[in-house]
Amino acid sequence: MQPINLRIVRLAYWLIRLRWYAIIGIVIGFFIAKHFLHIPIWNLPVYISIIFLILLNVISFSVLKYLQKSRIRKSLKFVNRIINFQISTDLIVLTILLHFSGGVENPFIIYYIFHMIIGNIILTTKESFLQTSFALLLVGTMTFLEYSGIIKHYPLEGFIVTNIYNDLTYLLCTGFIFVTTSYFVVYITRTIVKESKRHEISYLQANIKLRQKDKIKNEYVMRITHDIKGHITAIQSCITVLNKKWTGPLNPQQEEFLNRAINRIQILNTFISDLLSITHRKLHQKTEKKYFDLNFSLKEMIKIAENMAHDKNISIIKNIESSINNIYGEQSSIEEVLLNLILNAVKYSPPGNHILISTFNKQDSILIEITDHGMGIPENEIHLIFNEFYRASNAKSQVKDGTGLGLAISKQIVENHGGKIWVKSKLNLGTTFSLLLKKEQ
Amino acid sequence: MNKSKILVVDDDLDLLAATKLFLERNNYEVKTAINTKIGRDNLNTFHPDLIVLDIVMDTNLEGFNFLNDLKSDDKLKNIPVIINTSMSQAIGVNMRSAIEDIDNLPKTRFIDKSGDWEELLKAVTELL
Repeated sequence: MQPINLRIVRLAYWLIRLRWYAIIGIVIGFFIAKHFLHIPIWNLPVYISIIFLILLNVISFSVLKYLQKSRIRKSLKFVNRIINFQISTDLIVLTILLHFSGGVENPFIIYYIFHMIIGNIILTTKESFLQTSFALLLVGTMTFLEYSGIIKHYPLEGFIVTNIYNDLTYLLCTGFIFVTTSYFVVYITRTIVKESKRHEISYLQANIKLRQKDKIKNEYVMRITHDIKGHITAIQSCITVLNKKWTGPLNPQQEEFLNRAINRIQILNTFISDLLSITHRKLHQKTEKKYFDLNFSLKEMIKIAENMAHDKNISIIKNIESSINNIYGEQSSIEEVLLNLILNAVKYSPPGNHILISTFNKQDSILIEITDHGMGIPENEIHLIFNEFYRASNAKSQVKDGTGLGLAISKQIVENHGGKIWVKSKLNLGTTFSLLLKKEQ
Repeated sequence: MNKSKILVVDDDLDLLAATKLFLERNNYEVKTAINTKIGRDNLNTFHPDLIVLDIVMDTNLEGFNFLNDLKSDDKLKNIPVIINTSMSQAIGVNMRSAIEDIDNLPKTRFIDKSGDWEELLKAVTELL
């Protein structure tokens, strides 16, 4: 249940953020009360409270950050304790502030309710009822002590005209309403929170089910594709027998049609291999990763592509940073991505043009850019280019043997490695594919 | 000089026919077997110098069982075997490293079934 666990950490940060707002609120409220409403409030407790809240927030934030880094198993329990401690301290600070600014007569007494709601969202049922009871105990004690004269009452002079802190009937009625409101609020928010947690869990379960269905679908595709491949291999072998003229000479027309068939079979074969490859990668995300020399791989792939580039009189300009060496990943897969991108650049470049391959050594990753000056990708199709089976409208008419799976495979591989792949393109001006690979996993 | 003898075991009749023709064109004597049972019978009568073997036939591992029996038989284990299968793509195992293990499976070669005759011919000439 990882997401639920992460939830409490997220909420712990949320609580810290809320407290910053509260601190700002106290400062503004205090300023307005003092300078606009001219209510005499003793400065010292307010200043101390503000400083205390700031310290509390800074310390809580640091502890949370430390816990997240250390990844200790017990940290979640500890995060929960921090939250409980923070809410209790907030309640005490609020009580102290209220005591020095009119006690039960201060309208901000309603703000206890906020703490109750916040506690409810973050804490367990038992904890939030305990926190609410603690809040009521604090208010009750403060009111009683002020009422009985054990501690001094600090009236809000000029704001509350008559004294009500010592009016028993008022105190009992307000007390009753306050207590019932508090518990009722706790009960209602509890119900809402439970409901939303239930939704969260059912979303998670639906997600798991979807993934299982997807797996079944992929296994099905895999099996069928594999069967088809068997047939294609047999067809290809039989046609080759004729084409190689092992069974006797062919007339030119027979040869022409045989060649047409062979071309189509080759395209189909590539297609099936690509489909098997991408389905396999989706099903088995575990790969055989190790450290390998990325620069070496890139140079090897460029060498392979140079043959094809040479036929089209295309030059490959290399701008490779020599400081790049080992990265962690599956060498053959990364090489497949590199070769695929470079060959694409060659395929879609007009003859006599050049391709630029640049690498940049970033702090913990390596950026590879492959730029061609070919037909480009129409702007409204750029976001579709990594989709399975998608081929840009202008690519289809120029290069017949694409399967629309090459980029989808590349993306799958890069994502399995925790990297990123993206494209920038201008129609008729050219395209740049960028590949960001992490040095470590 | 006598022609070298090759036994091809595969459950695909069309592929068998084409492979037989191809290898015969390259001056080998070829016998084909549609399953490992016929393949086994041929071992004693035909005495092949090399075997081309498919893996997934009636059962998923039929070819492996055949290979296993072959390599555990002292008289037969020195016959070179070329595994010709598209299985690696289906299960995604690096078959080459698993199969070309000199200690466990001497004289065994792996090629990816793809309709590429040159690769097959290269493996045959290297092993014979």
